[in-house]
Amino acid sequence: MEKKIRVVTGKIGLDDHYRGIIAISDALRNAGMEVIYLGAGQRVEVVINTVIHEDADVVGLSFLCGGQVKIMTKFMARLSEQDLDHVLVIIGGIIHPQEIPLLKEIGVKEVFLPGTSSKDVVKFVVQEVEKRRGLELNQR
Amino acid sequence: MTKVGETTKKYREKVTDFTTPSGITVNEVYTPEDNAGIDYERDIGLPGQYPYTRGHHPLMYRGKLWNIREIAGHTSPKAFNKRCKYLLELGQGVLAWEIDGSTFYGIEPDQPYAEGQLGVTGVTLHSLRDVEVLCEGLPLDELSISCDTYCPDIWQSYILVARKRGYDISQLRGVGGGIFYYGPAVFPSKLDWLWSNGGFSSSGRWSNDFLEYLLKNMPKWNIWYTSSYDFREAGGDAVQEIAFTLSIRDEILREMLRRGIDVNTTARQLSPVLSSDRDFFEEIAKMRAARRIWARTMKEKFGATDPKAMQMRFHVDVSGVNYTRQQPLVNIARGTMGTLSAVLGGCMGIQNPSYDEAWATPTEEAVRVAIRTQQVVRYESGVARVADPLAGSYYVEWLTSKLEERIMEMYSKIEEMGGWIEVLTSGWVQNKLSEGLLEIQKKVESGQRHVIGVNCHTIPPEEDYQPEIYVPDSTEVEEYLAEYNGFKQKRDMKRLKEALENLRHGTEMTDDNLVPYVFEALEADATFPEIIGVLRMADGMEYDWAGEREYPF
Repeated sequence: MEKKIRVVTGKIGLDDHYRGIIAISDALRNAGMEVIYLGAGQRVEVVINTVIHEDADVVGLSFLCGGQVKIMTKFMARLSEQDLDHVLVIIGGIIHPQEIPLLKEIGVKEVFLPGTSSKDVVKFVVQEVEKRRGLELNQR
Repeated sequence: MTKVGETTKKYREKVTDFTTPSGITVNEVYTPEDNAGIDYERDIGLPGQYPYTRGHHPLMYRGKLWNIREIAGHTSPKAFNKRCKYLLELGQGVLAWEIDGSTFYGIEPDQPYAEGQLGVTGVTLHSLRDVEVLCEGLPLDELSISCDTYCPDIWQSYILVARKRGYDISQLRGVGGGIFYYGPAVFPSKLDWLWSNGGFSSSGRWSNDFLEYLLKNMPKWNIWYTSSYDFREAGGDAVQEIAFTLSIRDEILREMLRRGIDVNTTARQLSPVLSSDRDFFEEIAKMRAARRIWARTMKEKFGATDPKAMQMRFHVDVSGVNYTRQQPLVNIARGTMGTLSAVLGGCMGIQNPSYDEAWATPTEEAVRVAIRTQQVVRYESGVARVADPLAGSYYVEWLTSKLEERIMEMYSKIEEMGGWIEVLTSGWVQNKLSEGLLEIQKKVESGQRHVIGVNCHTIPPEEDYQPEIYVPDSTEVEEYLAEYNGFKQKRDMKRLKEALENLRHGTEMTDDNLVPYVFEALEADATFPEIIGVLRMADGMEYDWAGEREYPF
């Protein structure tokens, strides 16, 4: 049997607007994934450590009060330091349109905006993880 | 081309959803029979008369229009002070300060954890000096100020500034105070700001002490003791919103009773913030039911005798979570509906979000549209002419009574479970809200709950309206940071250390009120994070919430 997709979700920064991240965490769980929801007010290091300990395939973070570019720049750098470049990173929330290319440039795979159907997020995660797992198999 | 039969289908389209968002199924029509159990004198009466179903005041908006209280706040105290003056020039009689994340969560502005967020969602305030800069030239004796701060730090600074400028603080008007009672329900990571080790934490105690201070010294101050709007934004329904509002009120009444303050004194100053969500009549009926229950429970449960303690006076925030990113101009219609139901529900003030809510912090233009929306309702629609114009509507009266029944059920249930603090600290409240938001999300995704522009009447993104985006001026924040560092370095460290040590000592003196200790610390130029940090340490917690700073002494 194929290994379940493991996802770490949460919020980093001065922002407790948790509605979106709870809804997405629930949708991913209902799609059969293992979701570790860390809650709001997390530190970069805590999320990275959880990714390591939980052997996660995916990280999903949510931002509604700004700071995403600075926080994600730091986050992606730490992820890389830990040789975790294979982890799929997605974010969502109130994100300025001009920040989206910047975020993608530093390695955030997708930015989901308000009004996105959770089905689209699930579909994206499944496709991306399958792609990555296929790649890993080929490399072996 | 439209499909064959499509036009006929649209022509024949009818209402198919007969249940309100809080789960009340409604009939196609209401008649006097549905109101048979309602007694006019007992249950409805006149505005300004017990049980105040129809409003807290006999004249309602002929006596005073609701406050247009649009929230504002950006970058530095200096820059935002200019904006405040501009808003007052526009004719606003009140100000609603919005603070940024570093201020709200009580961390230093130059900490890594605040990076990129400084001054983004509100003004950044960290010391008495900052509040002094923000208040420069503002008529503190005429203004009514509001601000949703977790701790009383900003208010205590405001009081010091007012005193220094020679104002009689007993005459100050404002809306603010004890947000900490509702906070952990919607800011789950901050429970310890209220509660730790099985009792009020030191910062929880500080907020209680400040409520006591307000009740004893500032009779014109409305104590914004819960933003029940947030319960709705987090997934709660109208019944939960009011049941929680009442349960928190009871918790505060009892805490103040323990401090020797009678229920009349406390209740007459308590003023919650409610939501105006999307079901027009349910929201109106909810506000009417809330006033009725408030009056009855104050009188019958707490034995209040002062009519003012039985009158529920509240501000309304129009729901922002219903605003969409798609077709953002449609949000102006949502704001109008929400404003209208708040007015027909008899509120005392309204904040309606700007149409770019789901895009960014609003632009000046978007805020102006929000203010103008309220002004259309005020001056063009004529709805404010008559107090509680919907009274006597078979439907509205039936729905008011129905909601009253449901709210009473939940309110009693919370009481049976041990009261607000118990259901909050056990996680019951948070679970209820999460269940609600998942239910709503399910209905949106299945199409059962219509959201124009999202799951129906959509347009391709490339055809959609692109609003201008507000980006905070980073030079204002940089300038602030430079000045802040200068200020911190020039402080009298001996005096500061003494004041912080006194505060720490104050936390051990359980019969003392912490407010004077905090005044002393503020006057010694302690920063807000330093004050909060000392209180955290007193509870055995890490000095800095974000784990980045050490106690300086």
